[in-house]
Amino acid sequence: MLAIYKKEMRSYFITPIGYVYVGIFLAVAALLFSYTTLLSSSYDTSSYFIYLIISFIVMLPLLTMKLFAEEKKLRTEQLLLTAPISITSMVLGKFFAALTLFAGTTLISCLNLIPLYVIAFEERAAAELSGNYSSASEHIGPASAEIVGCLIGVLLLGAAFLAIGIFISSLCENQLSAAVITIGVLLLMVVLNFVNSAKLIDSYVIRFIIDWVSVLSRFTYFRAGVFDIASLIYYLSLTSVFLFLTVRVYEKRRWS
Amino acid sequence: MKKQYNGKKLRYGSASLLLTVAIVTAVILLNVCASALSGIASFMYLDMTVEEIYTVSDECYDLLKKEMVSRIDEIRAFNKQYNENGGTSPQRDAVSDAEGDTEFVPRDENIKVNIRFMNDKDILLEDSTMNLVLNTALEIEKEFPDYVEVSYININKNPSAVQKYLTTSLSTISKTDVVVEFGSEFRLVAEKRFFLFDSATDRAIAYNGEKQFASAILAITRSESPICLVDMAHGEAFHDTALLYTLEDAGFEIAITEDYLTDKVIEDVEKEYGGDVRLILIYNPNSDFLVETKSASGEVISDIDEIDTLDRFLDGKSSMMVFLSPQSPVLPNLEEYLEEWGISFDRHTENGTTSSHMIKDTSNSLTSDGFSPVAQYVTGGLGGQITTDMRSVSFPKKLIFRNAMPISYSSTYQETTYDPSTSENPSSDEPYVFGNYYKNGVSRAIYDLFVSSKDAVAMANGKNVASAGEFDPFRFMTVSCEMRVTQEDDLGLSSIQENSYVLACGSTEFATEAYLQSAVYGNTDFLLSALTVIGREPVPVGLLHKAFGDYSIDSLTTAAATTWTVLLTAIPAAAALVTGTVILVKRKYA
Repeated sequence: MLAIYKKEMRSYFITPIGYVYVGIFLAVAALLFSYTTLLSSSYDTSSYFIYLIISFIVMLPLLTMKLFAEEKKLRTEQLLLTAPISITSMVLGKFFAALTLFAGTTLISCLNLIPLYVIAFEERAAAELSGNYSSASEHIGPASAEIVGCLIGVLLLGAAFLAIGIFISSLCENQLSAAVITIGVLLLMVVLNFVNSAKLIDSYVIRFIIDWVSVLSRFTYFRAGVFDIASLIYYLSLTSVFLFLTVRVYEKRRWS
Repeated sequence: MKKQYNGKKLRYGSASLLLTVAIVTAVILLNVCASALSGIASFMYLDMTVEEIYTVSDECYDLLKKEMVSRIDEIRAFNKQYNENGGTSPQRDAVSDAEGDTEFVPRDENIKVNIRFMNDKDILLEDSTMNLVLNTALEIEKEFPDYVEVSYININKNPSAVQKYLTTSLSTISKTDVVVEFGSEFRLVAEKRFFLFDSATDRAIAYNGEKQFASAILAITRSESPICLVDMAHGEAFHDTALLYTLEDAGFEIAITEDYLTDKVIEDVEKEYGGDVRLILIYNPNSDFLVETKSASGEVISDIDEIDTLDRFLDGKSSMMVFLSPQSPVLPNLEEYLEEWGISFDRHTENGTTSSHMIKDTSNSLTSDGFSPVAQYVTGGLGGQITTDMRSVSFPKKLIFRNAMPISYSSTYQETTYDPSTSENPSSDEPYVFGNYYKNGVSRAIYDLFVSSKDAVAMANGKNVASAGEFDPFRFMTVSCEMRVTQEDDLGLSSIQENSYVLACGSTEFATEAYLQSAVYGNTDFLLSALTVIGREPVPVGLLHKAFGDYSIDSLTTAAATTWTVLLTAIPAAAALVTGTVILVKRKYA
């Protein structure tokens, strides 16, 4: 697994794709962050994370589209299938490589939070000088615990999206179709949540089921500042299921 | 096992599909179990909000455990006994059928408090405000599953299910209302009541759900809800509605009257609201209360005697709260009556002009003008008893009496110092001053509740007219008590004590939004504590509202925000792209 992992990590950075992804992600994240906080004069970061998740619909397929589709296109798939490594190790190696790049870039984007803390420090100092501030009853600044919760939620949701992208990539013949289909699937998942929120479905049972399976509705707990263990289990399950399905696809391919 | 797992059938054969389905099903079941567990166990989530807005406090649970659980257990035991006895005439419930026969209707031996929401659960969870309310109710249900049940009615689809609440409630029901029901008693709580609002901007500034639910549950598990009659017949000018909300939080139903106070007005209110008027609130009146007036010949000009009505009202187990301020006009009839309760508001007469005193304390004031003095707690007597819980913490909350008129004991009361060392069974550990009065079988006493510091002065017309001293502070608030003991039997073996109370405050701004809706000051906690004594109902004291954080950035200019935006967007992205370009070029030409 480690060899596959290193190979994929290297491939991200010996081709432009890794740098393009990092550059675009950081720029988009910074713009979204500024729009929702600095330019809106607000410490509240909940909207930022929602917009970030929507941007994942387009950005994460960039990481996953080539993982298996390219191997198939370049006919290097046979090498992987005949290599003395388990399919599970291969899939996990590729997954963790994509996850490392995604998580690393997401954590680097946390540098965007620095201005908020700097401004909060200055505002607190000014309030304390004026004598109108009591730290026991007033809070100035971003809600750090909620931000940590949202980051964890974003990473979990991103991991799930990556697993879905990897599964779709394993089914496709070329990168473009893998990317387009992944975007379509992720978009459908997100739109379904918005349809539910818009109360367009009258049946409570259907709404309940959609809400239960919806990736975005699970994230609302993190966004609200609640670390929900059931949502954690959900995201980990979703990731595991799609990685398992990817393994099944390749198991069948290897031995058929 | 490993051989079987590595077998062809499992990898790509017929069993492969079954294995896949089994594993996916197992994962779905795991998630179903996790979701079900999160509905009944609090450990399944962590409240990471600064305000801990999703966490119900231990104080709330303790209060409900102490008041609600014991009361429900009593009622269940009674109902069980009732059912076992087949009902007891004349209390027996009877339902007439077509032939006119009566039928025994058993009572619910597992009666619970039912919190009913007027919409589907998922829609409530989507709503940013009802989400909080629903969460609090669900947390209470989790903690007391045998005593509290949360249910949902979609009033659009099932309007008949809420008819019973409409027939007995004066208000209409909306999808965001919550009904807290117990047997035939219920309380309808509108969404807005779960939040505190800034009256200027109408923005929700705090969440008050714990207190609302606790109030409603305690009110319905009691047999009746006391009524507070708010007098509005004398030009009373409320600054805002914070005081009324506080009284509602304390379990009182608010009835407002614009008619002069008569026995009939009180009776009509009691009939309309189906309870007893236990408290009369007089807040910032601008005209005097009426007394019976006669002409020189003895002919009755006006037979309305509000003072007489108040006197009769306070003869029962009732109380009154009076808020005046230095801006209040002199009200001879009312103030003369208050003097019978030992209350005399300090005024200064010079050259025929009477002006009220106003307490100024520059060394103990919230504001630099000195007119927002921080009151000192009185530790002895009835005043000390009322504030015992508030004073039991390391740093008792401050109470602010902005623009306050000092209160003195009236001349008919004897000022007495109680010394616990001289008593076998001291009622207080510390000495305290109080006023007492006894005449014609009537025994009354007046106690200090809050006083000024020794540095305070009294101002009138811009001049310093009096100074406080270490042993003679100004009084911001007093409570007067009339004690009556009624013998229940001729042998005097059984007696009941009935007390009436008059709480007087020299500051109307004490009970305004600025101080009542702040978690920093103790003004609300004090009122709730006082109402446990003078209202004699369990009130949720110590349940704080949860102020929403103010996440607005005040000091960032648009130019600074734009600069930050450019820096954050350009620098990291450029660094990544430049690094990539350098590395790729180096590799190409290496």
